[in-house]
Amino acid sequence: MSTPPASDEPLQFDEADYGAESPVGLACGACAAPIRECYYETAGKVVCEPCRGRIEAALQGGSRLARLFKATALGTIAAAVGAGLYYAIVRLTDYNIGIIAIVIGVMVGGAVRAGSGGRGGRLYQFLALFLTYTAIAGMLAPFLVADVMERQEQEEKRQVEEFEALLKTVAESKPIDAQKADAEKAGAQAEPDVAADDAKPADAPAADAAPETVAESEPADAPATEAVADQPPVDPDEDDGDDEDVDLVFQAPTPGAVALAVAVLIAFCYAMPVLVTFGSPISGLIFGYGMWVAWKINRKEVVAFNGPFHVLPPDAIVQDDEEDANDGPDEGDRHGA
Amino acid sequence: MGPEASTCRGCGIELPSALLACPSCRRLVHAERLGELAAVAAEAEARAEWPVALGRWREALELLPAASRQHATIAAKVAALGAKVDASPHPSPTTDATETANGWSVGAKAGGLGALAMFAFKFKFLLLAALTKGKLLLLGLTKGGTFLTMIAAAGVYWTAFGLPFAIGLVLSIYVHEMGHVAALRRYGVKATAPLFIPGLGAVVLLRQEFHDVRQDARVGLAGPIWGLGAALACAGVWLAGGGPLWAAVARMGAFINLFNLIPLGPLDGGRAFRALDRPQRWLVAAALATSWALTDDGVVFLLMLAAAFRALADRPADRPDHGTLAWYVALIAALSFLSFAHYPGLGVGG
Repeated sequence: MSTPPASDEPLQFDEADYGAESPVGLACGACAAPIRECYYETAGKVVCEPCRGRIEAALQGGSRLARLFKATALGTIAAAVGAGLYYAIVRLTDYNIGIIAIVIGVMVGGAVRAGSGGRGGRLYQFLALFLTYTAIAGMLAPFLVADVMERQEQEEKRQVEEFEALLKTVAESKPIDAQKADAEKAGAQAEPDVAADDAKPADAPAADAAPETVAESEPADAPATEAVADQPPVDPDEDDGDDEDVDLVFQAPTPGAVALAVAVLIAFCYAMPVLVTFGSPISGLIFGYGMWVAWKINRKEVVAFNGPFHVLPPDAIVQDDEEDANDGPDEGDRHGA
Repeated sequence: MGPEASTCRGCGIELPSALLACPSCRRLVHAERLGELAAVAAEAEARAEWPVALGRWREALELLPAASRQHATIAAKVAALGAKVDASPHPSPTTDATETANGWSVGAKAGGLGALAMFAFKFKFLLLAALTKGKLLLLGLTKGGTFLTMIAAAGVYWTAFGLPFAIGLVLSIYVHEMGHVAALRRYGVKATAPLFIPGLGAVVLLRQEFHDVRQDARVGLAGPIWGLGAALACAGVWLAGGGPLWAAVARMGAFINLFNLIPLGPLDGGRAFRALDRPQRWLVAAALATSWALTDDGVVFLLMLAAAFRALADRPADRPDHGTLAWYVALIAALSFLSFAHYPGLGVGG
């Protein structure tokens, strides 16, 4: 029924003026059929008995599993969109606007409610709660991933720098043959001064050891010559394919390791809202509001039918029924089924 | 008889309590009360007591079926009375007379304050407005719910920002909310006292509908207007030699009020936008673009995007509302300035 326009006529409050096209008499708000005996009221609307039955059947029918699946699917989409929206806003504005968590709660709660066919209930409330929490964790995840990646980059950079420094040291040190010859020569020259060498403090570094070399760690009483002599001869030009050091750093992870890493990352993402709350209780409160909103939206709504309300006084209906029983069914019984 | 039912005086059928008119003979269930309300409202209109008249008509609207012609007629009357409220000086004649009798005349009788009384007489309106607002601010604190939630909010902010700033922030939000309350009273709309939500701000819940987008817009903008007043007052104290705390509260208060102008959902800007037609919405977006160009701030950019979205996608008002547009643009300018101005000694802004 369309609302009639405002009128300049003096207001009267005797009867409601619905305009000329409005039907006269009591009629069902759902099927428009005239009501003769009794009716029900729901949400301010008048419905006849058969329509009440149809509405109740529609509200109780259908597959519960299908509704749950639909609610999960719609809620998940809303959660993903909400998390993406939050991330976009943070990137766009450089502000961490926590109130977006409430928007996410409304989005997810509304989507779950729509998927449930507007029924709500404890199951859908928990679903909405979980998906909202997931969305909040998801909106924090990019920051966590960015942080992890930054740390990983720093670690890789550090390792590469260490490796390069090691390579540089090896490259700067003399070939083994030359070192051996030098050592023999030095040993021959040094023999008369052994006593003098013994006077050195035990922890003094080897005099000829270059800083940051492998020999640097050798104590003074273990001459470099011995260290070198103990090693197998190495030809620096020879490539035996032994890139063990490189493999240790850049070795491709196994699928199991990847799965474990992803699982740890997901677990950490789910823990993020809680961890953030410890650092910023205000953020925790806002996350809580967001989840509360999603929970509230999915409260079970009971469609209450008030009635029956009698069109005729009850004693008149009893009389009517008696007459009907005597006369057989008439046109008025078509709503009685 | 069915549950919670009465009998129609017109045709005798049973009526559920939820129905406002008999579905059979159309007799209005609250006919007598509607007559009383209409009489009181008409008397109030005759005395130019617009808030009283508006309150009664709004009450009458709740007792009429939304699809009835009477409902449409009274809704139009409410909109027309709202325009009269906008045109009337602040405060309304009723409040004016009451305050004059109870306030300044007593002050003059106290004697020895001739000069002050003369000043009061000359700037009566200004002082009465200030007094009325001050009284309202104090009265608001007597509401238990407001006060307790205010303390809770201050406690939460204390953990993050320290006690002095937390108190300043909560008072700033309180002034903002009382701006809404003052506007609601002017338009005769029933609402709850402000309730603080720690970490989020505060809300005033409406108990009646506006039935007019312009009144809704003005109530929406009243919060940021009062909030701007609070921020200006804090900035004034800082300029007069107050410590950096005043500057910090001024800046944060202005920023919160600016954020509330975002033209989405139930936020203040969202309510104001409903009263603007499409060209006016683009003007607001242009004002925000100018502010963004000057401040280079992400939140202003977000406001601009939201304004452009609503100008493009949302259904605009049927007719322009110049008052709302003027206030909106003025608030953007003033709040942007206060939010991003350089406060020497504060270490932010500029």
